Amino acid sequence: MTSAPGGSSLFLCFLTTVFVVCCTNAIEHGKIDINHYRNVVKNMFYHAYDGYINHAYPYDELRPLTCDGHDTWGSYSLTLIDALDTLAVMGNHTEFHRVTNLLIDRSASFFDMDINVSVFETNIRVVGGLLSAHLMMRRTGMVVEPGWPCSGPLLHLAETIARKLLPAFDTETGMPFGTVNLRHGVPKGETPVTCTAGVGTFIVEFGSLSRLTGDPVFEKVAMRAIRALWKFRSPIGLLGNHIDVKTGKWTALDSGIGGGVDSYFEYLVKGSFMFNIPELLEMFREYEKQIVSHLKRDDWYMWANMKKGGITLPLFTSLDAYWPGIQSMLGDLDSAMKTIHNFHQVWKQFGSTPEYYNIPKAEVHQGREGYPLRPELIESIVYLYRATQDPYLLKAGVDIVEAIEHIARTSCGYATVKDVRDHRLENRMESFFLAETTKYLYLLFDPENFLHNNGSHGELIHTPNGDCVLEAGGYVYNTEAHPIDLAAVHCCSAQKKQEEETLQNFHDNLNLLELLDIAQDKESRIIGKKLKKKKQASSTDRQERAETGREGNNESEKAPEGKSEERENSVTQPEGPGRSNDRDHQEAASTHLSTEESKNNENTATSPQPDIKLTIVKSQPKTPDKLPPRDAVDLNGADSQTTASSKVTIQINNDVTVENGHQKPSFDLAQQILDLFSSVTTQGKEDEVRQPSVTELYKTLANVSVVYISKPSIMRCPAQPFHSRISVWGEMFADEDIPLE
Amino acid sequence: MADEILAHGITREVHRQNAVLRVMAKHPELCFILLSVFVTFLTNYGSSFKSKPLVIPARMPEPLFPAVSSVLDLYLGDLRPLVEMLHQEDLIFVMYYAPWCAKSNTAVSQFLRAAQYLDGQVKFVAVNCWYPEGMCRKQYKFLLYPVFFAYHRDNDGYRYMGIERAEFMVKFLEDLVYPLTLLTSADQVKDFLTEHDTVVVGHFDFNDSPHPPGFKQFYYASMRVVEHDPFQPVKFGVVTDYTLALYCHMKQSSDIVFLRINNSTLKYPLPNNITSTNLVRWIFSTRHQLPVRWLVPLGMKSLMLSQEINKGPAVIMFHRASPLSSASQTVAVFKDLALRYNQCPGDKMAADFSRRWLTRSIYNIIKHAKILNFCKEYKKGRLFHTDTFRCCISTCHNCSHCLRESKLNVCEICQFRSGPQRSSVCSFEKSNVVDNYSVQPPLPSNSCQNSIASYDVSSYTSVCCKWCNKNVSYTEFLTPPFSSTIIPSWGSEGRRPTDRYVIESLENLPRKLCGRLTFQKSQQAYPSAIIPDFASTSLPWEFTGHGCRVNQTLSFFTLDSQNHWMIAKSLGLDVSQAHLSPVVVGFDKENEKQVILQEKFSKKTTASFVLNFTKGFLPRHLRTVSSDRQEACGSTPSLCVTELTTDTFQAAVSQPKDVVILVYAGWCGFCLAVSHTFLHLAHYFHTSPNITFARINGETNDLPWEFSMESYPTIIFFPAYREADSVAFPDNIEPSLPNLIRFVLQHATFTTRLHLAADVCSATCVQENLELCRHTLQALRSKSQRLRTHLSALHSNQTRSKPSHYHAAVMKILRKRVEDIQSEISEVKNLKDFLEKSRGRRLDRKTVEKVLSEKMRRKDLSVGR
Repeated sequence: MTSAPGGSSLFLCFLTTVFVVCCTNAIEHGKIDINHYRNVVKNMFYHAYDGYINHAYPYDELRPLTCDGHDTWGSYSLTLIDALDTLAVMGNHTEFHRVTNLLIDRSASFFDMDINVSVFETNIRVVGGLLSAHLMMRRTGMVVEPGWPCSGPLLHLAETIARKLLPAFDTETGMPFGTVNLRHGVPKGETPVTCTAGVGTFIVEFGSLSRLTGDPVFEKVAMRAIRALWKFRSPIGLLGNHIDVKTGKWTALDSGIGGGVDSYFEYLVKGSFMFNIPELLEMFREYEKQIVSHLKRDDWYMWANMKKGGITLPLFTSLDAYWPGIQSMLGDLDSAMKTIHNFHQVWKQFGSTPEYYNIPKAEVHQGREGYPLRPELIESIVYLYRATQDPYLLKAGVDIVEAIEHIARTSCGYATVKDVRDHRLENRMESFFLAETTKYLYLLFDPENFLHNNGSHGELIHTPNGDCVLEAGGYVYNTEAHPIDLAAVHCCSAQKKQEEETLQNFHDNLNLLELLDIAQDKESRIIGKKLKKKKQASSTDRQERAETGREGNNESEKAPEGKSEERENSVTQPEGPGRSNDRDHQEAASTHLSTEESKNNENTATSPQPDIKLTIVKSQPKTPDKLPPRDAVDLNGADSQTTASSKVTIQINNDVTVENGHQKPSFDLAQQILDLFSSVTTQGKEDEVRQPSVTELYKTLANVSVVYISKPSIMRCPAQPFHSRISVWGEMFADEDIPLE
Repeated sequence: MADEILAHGITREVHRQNAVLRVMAKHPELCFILLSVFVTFLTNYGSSFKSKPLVIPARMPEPLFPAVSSVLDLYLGDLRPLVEMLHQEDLIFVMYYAPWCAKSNTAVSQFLRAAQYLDGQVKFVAVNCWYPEGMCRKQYKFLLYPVFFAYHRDNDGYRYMGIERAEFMVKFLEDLVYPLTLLTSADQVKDFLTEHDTVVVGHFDFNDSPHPPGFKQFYYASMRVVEHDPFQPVKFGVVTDYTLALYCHMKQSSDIVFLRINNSTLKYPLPNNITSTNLVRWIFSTRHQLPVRWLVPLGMKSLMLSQEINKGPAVIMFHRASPLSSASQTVAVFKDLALRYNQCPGDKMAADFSRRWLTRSIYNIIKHAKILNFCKEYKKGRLFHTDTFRCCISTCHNCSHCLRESKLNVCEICQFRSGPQRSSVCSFEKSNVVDNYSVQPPLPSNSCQNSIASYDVSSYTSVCCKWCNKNVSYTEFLTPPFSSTIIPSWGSEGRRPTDRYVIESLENLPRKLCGRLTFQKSQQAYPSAIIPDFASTSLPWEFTGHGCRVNQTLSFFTLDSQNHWMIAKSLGLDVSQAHLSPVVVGFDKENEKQVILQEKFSKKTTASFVLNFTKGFLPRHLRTVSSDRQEACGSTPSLCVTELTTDTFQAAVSQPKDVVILVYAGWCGFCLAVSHTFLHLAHYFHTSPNITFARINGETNDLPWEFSMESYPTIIFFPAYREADSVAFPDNIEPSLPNLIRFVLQHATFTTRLHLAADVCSATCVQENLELCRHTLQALRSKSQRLRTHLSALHSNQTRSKPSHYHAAVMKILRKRVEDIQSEISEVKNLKDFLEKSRGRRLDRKTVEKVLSEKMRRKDLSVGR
């Protein structure tokens, strides 16, 4: 609860060294002393955390002016769960253990309450927090069970509460209701209007849950909701702010990147590389294109009408600030830096970012003048600082620390700023202050933190799923800043199982004669791209190189044509046998499918002749597919094409899944049984509005495919242009080269 | 029964109530106590019952500056004291701050230092412009803090947009205090131009009126340009002399010209409409490339660098800038080179400027050295004798209209040289200064007036002129005859300087000079690098005028190593020693080339560096980041892959092993997703001594062209002995572990494959391969048999008929094939025997190696060759 032992003496020690350093090495003016600020942030965290524990626990949040607690989003000690992994990030393992054990002890009854909670907030804060804490247990020195990371008490807890959220997803469109009762499902008379982010912000947590626990249902509901949003986008490719989840009709037509939409885009990007789902990235790229052409003005992102595209509100919303962070993950650093400069400008004006800010007037938007200690700006700064090491960003970070410290600090915590124009304080401290704001600030000033591992080292763990490499730097933060190790998620996944199997096959069926070149010399199966020597750095040379590269691609793409027949089979396999709403069956199917899928990919790239047998084709599936060949061909075509036709691919994919659902005989049977079952349960209530139920949901989920068409070529980041090396300290390059004078 | 119980209960209830009432009636004080407890409870904790969220106002502002300091801190945002002050002070420097702003807080110490240094000259005020109740906040709206403004008494405010360091603020304020320079000779004009590269000169005739038309606007504009570019401001000069004006292409009063060192002279196009805004606009629209531009990125979104870089190749020098001193050798050398590089053969002016610049900078440096010496002695307590500065000469000037009015113009010219020249009693440069005064028309004075000729704290000329009536006997300090000659009649002996500038200068000069030095030192803005061949003129013969011959634009820039180290760092340079030896970089955006000067900075090395850069002779500089994490690799984590840098890359690649390298970018999400797979891959092969794995950050470490990636992540395989045959993992295949293993095996050298085979071949694998061997053996034997039959058939054919070349060739090939198959058979047999021996157990690597050692050697040798 208190800071690390010897903290104060350490701090003093620190100050003296700082002093010495500043005088001997003061050649770099304006250099930020990160050690000092790391301590400031640490103290900030502990001041608020201790305040919560002493005054507010077990309530959800601390009230920093009255120094007491209250329940806000539920009544499950939200701040405690949310702040848990920040403790681990800051290295306080003892407190982490204490709280974890506390949660485990209480887990039996923790979430069995008759309360209405926000599906979205519960997911990102509670499920996300528990997942992240679960994955951090080992590195904080806790004893973990042998099945870890694929099992464990916190994971179980996360799964339990996630399951309580599932009823919300049983809608006609697949988009969830905004509120659910932890005991009774969706409350009666619940409004069907949900904000876009509330529909599409599940894949990171639910995808992780599915892969960690082996139950694909979570990933399915998340993907179904995401695809539904994709389907309901406007003709010009924009999304609105709120949607009716029953009808798919938009109720708020303002399209932007900020409040109400934000984390949907964030999760498209994060989900795409976290789980290797190219579909999500393609969606994002498509949205991004429209956002740039309709919303972007002067490196700001404004609000436009989703149908017509004209700017309706020239506003910056405080939640917009996550966007540059997303861009940085995809390598769009130049654009991200330009935008972050704009956003930081708002901070410099008020010492915080108001919820809404009128850009042309350079003034707070009336009615939305608060600042609840939000983390989005600092989040983007952390991402960008990691990418560019631009000291400007450190300065921006210092601006934030100093301002919060000066403005929001109270006797027992940090308070929401009610009005950024006069810094009046409100009696609330949202849990994300401890979960996100302090965590990101700490990460900015702690370059050696384990979360900053760039992948050069990891831990080898022996699990029931085989050997796994964990903690190799693949941390993906959910929108509540809960880091999830994608390596751990991969470790428990079906793909991993398949890979293990493939390797085992390879080991069993190794062809020594070929491997050792005894019988005859073989041609390579995975033919890499030869790297060319480049004599001169002229642009023509570069172009040539690009061209040869393209030719190489074409060649490798031509190869699999001969095997199209086989590919067809394997691609369409997913909709094959074993579809029922029995969970185990489903799981088996999806495992099987994904293996087929990955095999298919291997095939596409290999030359047709069989040589070193790494993959041994398993016993062929029993029933060949009954899909109309048209779809299969289309799919194939789309598959071998590149990003240009991304939109088409996804649409076709959707169509396939829908059609299949009505054609499978095995499904029909299951459906009939279910129909019967549900008709019994809903007997006599026919007049009433249909209440969402999990059973219904499972039935519909049978039609949702979580098998993805692999496209490794789009899952890459472009290298930065040569001149970007002088894009530092506010220096930018125009989007187009400035013509010579 | 039930009713009875119920009734009973009710009565009991009534009884209890009655009891309470009775107690209350008995003890009214009890009732009062209860009530008061309730009231206090409400008043104390009442707020927590309110449904409305509690709100508290922000805390009251507190002073940011120490109470006793040279800065007036209006921390409640009251502007009235400032307004009052505006009428009293010549110049006020105001900082508008917000108390929560980190930048404001860091600016405090620098603001204080500047205030201390300029104490007495400029008033410093700080205003809290955030406090919502304050007057300032209500009146002004700032988009960021702090904001600096300098307010001139009879003029408006000038915003300071420079670096928030005391030395830069002082330079800005000094430029505002002395914005104009009086130019009195052609030489002076030229020197003025060489020193400042671009100058605006106006001709104003003060004889007509004390306020010639346009002068005021000219004066305002001179300050406005300082606001626009506080680092290399366009300097303003005033010419009063008609002939000198003519020399500068100005025909009449109020003519204004723009002189540019490497371009033609421009005349202000609107002579009848002189406004400061027009002037400033005109100046900045026509001010083109300077010989050397000092770039000062301010940490705000700008295109300054990119605009310069887009124009073409550039040479950038990182050095320790000293805004308050013109005695920097590095700047002098660099500008000298820039001038010479662009000097075209026929252009005499350019050559002249170049020569002038050299003498000028030598003069500056010598002066600086003298001051240094002087201050050393001054500090030791050897007091400075003011006597030595008494050097005044009176001159009488006779002119036509003066005579008519029977008046005599008498001027006293005093020149004061910088302190150190103690020995020279009066080093009057007659030719230089005095002549100008004697030739020119009389100065406009009806009373004694001081005019400052090229003000400088260390060298200074004052002219004091008087109308003297002929009839009146000339005052004690004047001597006839009335000829326009200089009368050096009055020596310095026994005279006291008369004008206040001189007196002030004499009294304050030592303090000022040395105070300035200490100030610069404390701010670390102190020219320190010494260039050995600073004054040499022998450069590579090609250098002078090269820019003119090749017709390629090359820009020269300087950047301050102290304030802009981050740009150097981002270019992969170390500028921590820039105060000893500046760092010079050539940057060519179009050819994506960056080169750096490897030798120590000197005139000669830099000149040949620039030459070689333009010719493309220099090797590309490869940025690299020494990885600290690499050390962490050995210790704690259980799995680790070496991080390479640019420096270690080549060695790593060319070692006699297979090398697999992951090229990644730290920011790339997809790289994060693949890193655990790569680690796993490394682990998979960890028992093979013949293969290594490494990673390199392709964004922070420049690689040779052939390995510069266009996208990340990329996995490259370098086979042992043949690193030129490197291959990249194709980007259309999923980088999953099995795929990667397959890829590696496909390209790996024989030894690696052998090791792996021994390691992973399971019992099933041994069995299967045994079977395979048998089959292969059989197939090979039958094949060999067929060939033999064929061969013998051919043989018999040949013996029968006439031997032909064709036959011979075919037979040769066939024989070769038979031999090959024979050797294959033996190899397969070897393997089979070996597998049989192992009897379903796993293979032992050493034995495998032994069995296949012959082949291994042969394979690797052939590769090695």
